[in-house]
Amino acid sequence: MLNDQPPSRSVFQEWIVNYIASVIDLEPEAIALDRTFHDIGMDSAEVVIMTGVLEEEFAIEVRAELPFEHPTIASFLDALAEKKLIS
Amino acid sequence: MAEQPEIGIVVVSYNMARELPRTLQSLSPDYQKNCPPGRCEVIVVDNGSAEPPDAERFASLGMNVTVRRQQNPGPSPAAAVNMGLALTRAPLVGVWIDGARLASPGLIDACARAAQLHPKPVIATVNFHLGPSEQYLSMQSGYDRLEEDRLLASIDWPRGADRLGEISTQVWHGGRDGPMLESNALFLRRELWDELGGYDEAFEGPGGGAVNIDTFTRACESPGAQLIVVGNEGTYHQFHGGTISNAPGHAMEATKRLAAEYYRLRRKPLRPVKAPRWFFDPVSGALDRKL
Repeated sequence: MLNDQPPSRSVFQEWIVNYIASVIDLEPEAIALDRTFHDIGMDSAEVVIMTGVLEEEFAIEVRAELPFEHPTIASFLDALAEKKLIS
Repeated sequence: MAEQPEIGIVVVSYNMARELPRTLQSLSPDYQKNCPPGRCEVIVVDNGSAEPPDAERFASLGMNVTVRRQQNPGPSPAAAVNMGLALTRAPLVGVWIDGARLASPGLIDACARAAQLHPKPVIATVNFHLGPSEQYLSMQSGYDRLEEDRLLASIDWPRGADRLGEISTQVWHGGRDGPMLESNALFLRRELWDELGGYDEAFEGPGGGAVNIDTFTRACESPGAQLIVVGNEGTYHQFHGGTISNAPGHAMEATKRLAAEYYRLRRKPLRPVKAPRWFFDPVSGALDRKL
């Protein structure tokens, strides 16, 4: 069942930064919002896995291709906001 | 009563009329090096094929093959694996969660030798896809069963089985050098299979993508266990319409779903195993403990 209230952008951003930091063993402060997932150090499979995890974590549905079409954290958040998956 | 085999292999099949006979041939004494009749038994558990395999068809392979049918087959092969684990009598058991995987010709003996190197070994083998790239990619350029048959004929398989590497591609996190996500021929001692409780049937996803990764991860995380990756051997995935391997256009969605299922059940992200591994070279017999 999906959430009635979408997560806020700030909550989602904090989660995704911490998630990526844990995957690639960096401090969250080192994760730039305007760098591509690839440049940050995530390979494509890790991005797909992240999408599955965030679906479970936030009870939302996200197409697996979306983070590849919007390949930075900032642009990914914009796309999620546009789809009203985050507020 | 027949003498207890040293090695048991559990093979799960599902609608693999073309692929399963080849897989079983690749496990047979005539194909496997240093694996005479009696050393190994094979348990095939069919997980609901429209036309289940017939044991008589494999009688000519010269090995002990048992074929059983999972009575209540579901999308996940976990229960079928566990049925096979319960049936085998061997102290060392390897699992082929995907019965469409050919073994390289020294794989069984290499895994048995590797298992003697540690009291609680997790023996993993490298994963390959037949064809010029991972099959969910190559099939978009026309790779199909006919092309695969042509490739196998080009190396004169099975006589040319040592050349499987020439017509194959190692898959992502397949195991040779980097962090390893799973093994499609996973060998554990009976005691460790029992400790793990086999494959976790709470995983219901089709094809076993998440549960195979989960089992490998749990085995490696078991206290005192040691991951040993076997080099120069591996399993080679035949094209058969698998859930992820042969899923152009929705391979990412399928991977996303298995990642979600894993997170739902384990409350941690799916990750390749990064624990220190040993690397066993069965050709030289060398064991590298520094990886």
